Amino acid sequence: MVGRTLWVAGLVLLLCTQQLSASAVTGTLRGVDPALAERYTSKGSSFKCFDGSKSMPHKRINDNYCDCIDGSDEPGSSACWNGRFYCRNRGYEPKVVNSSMVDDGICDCCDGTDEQPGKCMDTCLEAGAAARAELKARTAAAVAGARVRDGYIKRAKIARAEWDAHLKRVDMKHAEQKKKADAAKAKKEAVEAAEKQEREVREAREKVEREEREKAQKEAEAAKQLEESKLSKVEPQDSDSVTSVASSGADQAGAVDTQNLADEVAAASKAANEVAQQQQQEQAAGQAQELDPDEEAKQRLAQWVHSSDEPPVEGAGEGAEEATTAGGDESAAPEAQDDDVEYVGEEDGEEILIHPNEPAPSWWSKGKAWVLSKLQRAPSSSPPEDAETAARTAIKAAFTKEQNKLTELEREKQELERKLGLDLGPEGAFMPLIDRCIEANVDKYTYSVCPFKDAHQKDGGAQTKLGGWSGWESNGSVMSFTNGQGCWNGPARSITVTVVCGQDEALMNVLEPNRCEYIATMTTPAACTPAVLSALQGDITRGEQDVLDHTEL
Amino acid sequence: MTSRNAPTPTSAPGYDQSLGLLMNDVVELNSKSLFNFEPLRQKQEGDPEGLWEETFRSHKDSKPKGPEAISLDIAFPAARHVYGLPQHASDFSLKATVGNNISSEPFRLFNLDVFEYETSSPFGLYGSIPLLVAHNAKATVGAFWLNAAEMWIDVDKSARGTQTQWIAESGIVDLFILLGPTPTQVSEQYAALTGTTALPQLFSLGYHQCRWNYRDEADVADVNAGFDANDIPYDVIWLDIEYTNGKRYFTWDAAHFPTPEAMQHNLRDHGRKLVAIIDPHIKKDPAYYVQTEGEKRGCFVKDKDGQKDFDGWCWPGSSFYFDAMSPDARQWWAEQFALTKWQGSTPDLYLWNDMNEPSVFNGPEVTMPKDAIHFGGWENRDVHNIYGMLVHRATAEGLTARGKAAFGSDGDRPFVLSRAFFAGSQRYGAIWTGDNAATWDHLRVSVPMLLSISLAGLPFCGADVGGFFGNPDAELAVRWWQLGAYTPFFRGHGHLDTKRREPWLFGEPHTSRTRAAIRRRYALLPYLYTLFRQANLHGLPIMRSLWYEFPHEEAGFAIDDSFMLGPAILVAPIMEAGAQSRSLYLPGGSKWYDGITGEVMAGRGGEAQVAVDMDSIPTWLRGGSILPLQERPRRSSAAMQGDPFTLVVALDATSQAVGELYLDDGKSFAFQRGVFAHRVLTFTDSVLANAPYVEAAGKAYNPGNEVERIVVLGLPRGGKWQVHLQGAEARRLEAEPGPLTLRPGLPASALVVRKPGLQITGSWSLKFSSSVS
Repeated sequence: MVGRTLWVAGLVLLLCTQQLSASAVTGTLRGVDPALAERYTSKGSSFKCFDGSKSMPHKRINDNYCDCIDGSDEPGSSACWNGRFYCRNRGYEPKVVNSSMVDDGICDCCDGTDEQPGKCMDTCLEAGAAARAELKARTAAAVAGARVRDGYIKRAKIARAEWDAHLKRVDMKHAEQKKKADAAKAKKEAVEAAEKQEREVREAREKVEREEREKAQKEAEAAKQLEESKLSKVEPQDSDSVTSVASSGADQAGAVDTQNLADEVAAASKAANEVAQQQQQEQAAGQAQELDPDEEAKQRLAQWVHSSDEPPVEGAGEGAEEATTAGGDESAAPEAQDDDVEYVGEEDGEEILIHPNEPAPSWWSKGKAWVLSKLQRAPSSSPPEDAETAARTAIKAAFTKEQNKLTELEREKQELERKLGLDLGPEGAFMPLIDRCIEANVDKYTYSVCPFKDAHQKDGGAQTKLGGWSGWESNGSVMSFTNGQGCWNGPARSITVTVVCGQDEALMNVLEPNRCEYIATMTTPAACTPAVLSALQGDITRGEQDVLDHTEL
Repeated sequence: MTSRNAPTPTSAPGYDQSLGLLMNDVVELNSKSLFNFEPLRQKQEGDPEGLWEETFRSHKDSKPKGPEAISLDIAFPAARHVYGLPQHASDFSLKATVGNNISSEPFRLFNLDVFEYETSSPFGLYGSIPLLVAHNAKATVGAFWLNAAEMWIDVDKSARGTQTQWIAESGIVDLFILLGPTPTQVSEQYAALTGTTALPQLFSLGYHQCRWNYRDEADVADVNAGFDANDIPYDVIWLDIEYTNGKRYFTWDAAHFPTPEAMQHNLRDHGRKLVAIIDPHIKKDPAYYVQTEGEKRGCFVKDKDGQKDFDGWCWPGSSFYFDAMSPDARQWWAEQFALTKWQGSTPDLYLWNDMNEPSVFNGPEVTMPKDAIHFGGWENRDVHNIYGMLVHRATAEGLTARGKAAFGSDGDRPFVLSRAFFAGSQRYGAIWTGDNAATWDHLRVSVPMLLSISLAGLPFCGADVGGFFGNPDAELAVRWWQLGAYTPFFRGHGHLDTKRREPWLFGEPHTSRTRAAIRRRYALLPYLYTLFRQANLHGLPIMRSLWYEFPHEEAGFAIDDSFMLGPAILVAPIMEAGAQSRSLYLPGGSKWYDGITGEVMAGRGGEAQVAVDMDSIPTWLRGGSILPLQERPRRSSAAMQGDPFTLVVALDATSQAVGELYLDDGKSFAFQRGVFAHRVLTFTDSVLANAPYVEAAGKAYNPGNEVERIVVLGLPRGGKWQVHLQGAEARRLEAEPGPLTLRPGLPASALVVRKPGLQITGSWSLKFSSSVS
């Protein structure tokens, strides 16, 4: 239809330049926007460039030479570098094209006025009819969508009221639970204080005993040396066996400690069993050179806090790997920090620790990994219990239970507050999308967009996160999901979803225009606002007027 | 074997006539007695290791003929500057590779697909031209060793000028000394040996928009529409490897390109073209017709034993390589481009040959083993550097045949872009500088690279605008478009992993600047096309060093951060971030006019510091030039065909100027039978005259385009100028002071003749007179 051999068109153009100026003389100035027509036909003796820079006789208008630097003297030719050509396009809608497209052999206006007569057919009626049919279909969908949207708004109001009420209930429960948890904590702390005191007493005693023993040992050695000096031959000392004794002592350190605790409790409540104490003293002496594992864990943790860039001392490869996945369950983290022993002592500690998707400060995960490795050295057998121990264990367990309940309530509260804080669009119309995912299949992938949550690309069983909800963009017409899975040699994935009015939810036009930056369009009734409807109605009215104009021709 | 060249008579008009007397000091052969060669021999017990077999990493070169190297030395005792030997990413004036305190590899000529090449290295890249040009203020000479084997050249700069030593791995001495003595004569002498540039289709001088990859037909349509929506001209959109069905060239990915013909028709209807990539590696797949045909007809390179087809890895995986050495294989390859053969192709589809060094992913240095056997029993060792050119040739021949089949004897000129090249590639199409990167360093090095390639007789060249690897920021991208607009081949391209970067995607104010740069390119098309005709006739470069145009000015000998586009425009690109000004050298003895404002440069040239902004890069019109322009912005070169012309007359200090204009249909071979217009425009004694070009007066082409504006720079100020058409239809023309360019805020630096009512291809003369007493 257009531009078969353009240079031939060029020849035609030149032959037609006469015609071009002729039409200028007849009064219907080519390419002039009716809103500006008056400026070309004013009675004055000359035409003034719109920018006021120059005046000239009227015959210079549309004479195919650019006199005004703003292009205003050539509305109907390609002479100026910046002109604007207006086509009426009767039967369809008016259009303004750049002067670069005037008389270039390619039909840009459906009425063909941008080219010389005879070059293009007037296709405005057809174009208009097609556009109007499309518009009608779109409007029908929008009307239907608007009805659905009314339902969405109602549901949004109800949901909001429910969330509000629910939040109030949770708030109350939370307050009560907080009291319980605080009480349990106070008890637990009392127990811990007692334990601490007992430990200090024990340590002081052990210190004295150790000093005495060392003194005795020195005396014995001095005596032995004296003895040896008397002998001609000296039996060599087996250093290996000494080392092995020391290391087996270290291996038992964890066990000793737990046992200590139990035994100390017993010692404080009744008369000391001398035999038991004797044993225990001996064991304590064996580990005296070793740092208390709890203390060591805390120190190591503190190191990571202060020098987070240092690699973990042991298990750098595997440990670090574990650490990243073992990240921070947010509720577990501070608890563990407050009370390592108890946290570590939990049998399902590992499960609590491993919580993917939630990144944690690296020092914390590294520290935890280290603590875990210590945990693996702890004995599996339970310490001996007596009434006091049982009582103390019960107190601690009670605290954990109350604290867990509190955490659960806090989570519930946060989730409700998040929902209530979401921008669900005008009148909350997008509320029903809050728990939905809209999918589309493109090539071998399935794209899944879950508004207000996240978006994924699925390839069979594998799924790649394209982004988490980051909010609305472009005045609430675009949903943005950012910080998805990182791309090799590229940015973290992201997707922006343009939301348009439609009868139901559908995802379409999923594209990746830039590496790892996706775009898509989503239809939803939630976007069928009164403004959209009235704009469509306006278009229809204008379209009908276009037809009338054309028939008046 | 010392030989000195006898004095040669010179006929260079306007050049130093005393040169002939000085020729004795210009070139010396074997003055260092380095001519040497390995005599062919039989393998013997006790031969040193490596003589008959070499290993490189996991690769083994069987070296069936043993050592074959050959070397020679050429000295240029009076030249401190030597140029050429492309392709290297390094300075235009070649740096010494040997000498005190110099530690460098020699310049290497060996066509290689180098991943992320460095910007200051004598290492071999995609193409090789063994032409060296030496220049001093008195003479220009060249040395061309026609040998396609791997070559190494050492450059030694001592007090006695420049000595060079050349070593080729195999082959013979087929050495040509080009005696100049002017730069243009060296170009002509070299073109007499290797051919001149094929006259390209006009569309291929427009802007090309490429990307690895335009995803599908809708993407192509969107980008095409995007140019119109943003009122930015372009002529060609490109498809990289992903358009194929699994990297099987001559096929289409049916999911993304189900209707390739309709896609091309849509482009055609907007006056635009499509270029698709076709590489010389053919996927090994018995269900793929190109593979089975080629195998059956024996069209693939053989492995070292000469029996089995050589099997190497490239994009499709295991592949065969089209044996471009074989005339029959070239014929077979050319046939693949027939419209009846290549399903989904139309006459608006043109070509791109990539990976034709050839690139072999699992080969030594990512190329073909040296002992692979080409047609005629040649080892790849002997013909390696010529392979890419022969692929280029076969593709161009295929398009030529296609054009004749489709349009009759005048046919359709081919357009093929190649990455690999050799001496003579100019006869087949354009080349580009391969996979550069989006860095200021790569932007900078593109100028010396293109100057070297241009000087070596291959003027249709360009660098990927924006940089192939990585993401340019808006400033770098705009600066690259602004430079690219003045380079012979102008294409934006980017890697699969980069962000989209069509010219409007950086947003304002960048889009407006890019639009202005690309439009400037289109305004210059008549001038550029005329330069290509001169390249086609005489082998002259399009992009020229300052010394090429000003051979006596030693201050310009080392300059490679600015250049001449033809004889008339000096381009000083901005190649650093945040530049507020730049220094440049305006050769003295010429009058220079600012390319946009038309204001004359104060003084008589020399070193200058000029202020710069982001709107454009500094360009200067050389006094004494007449430039034909088509200034109306259009969507493509095709849409400009009927547009009127502007003549810009930039007078020199003696109020004279000369220029020329070549016009034809821009498309077919009809120009070869005289269907063209070639005009010479002169301004002397206050008369502007349009007359037939003295050498070739084409009669048959008269498109009738008018001159809409004549802009004269440098007329004496103060008087009121009158302009009269002379001759039988004598009349007075409208003329008044005005700006050089139609842009707001520019001074009235010129006398502008308004609508003179003259045809650009007509013979006429205009008298300029001043009414001042």
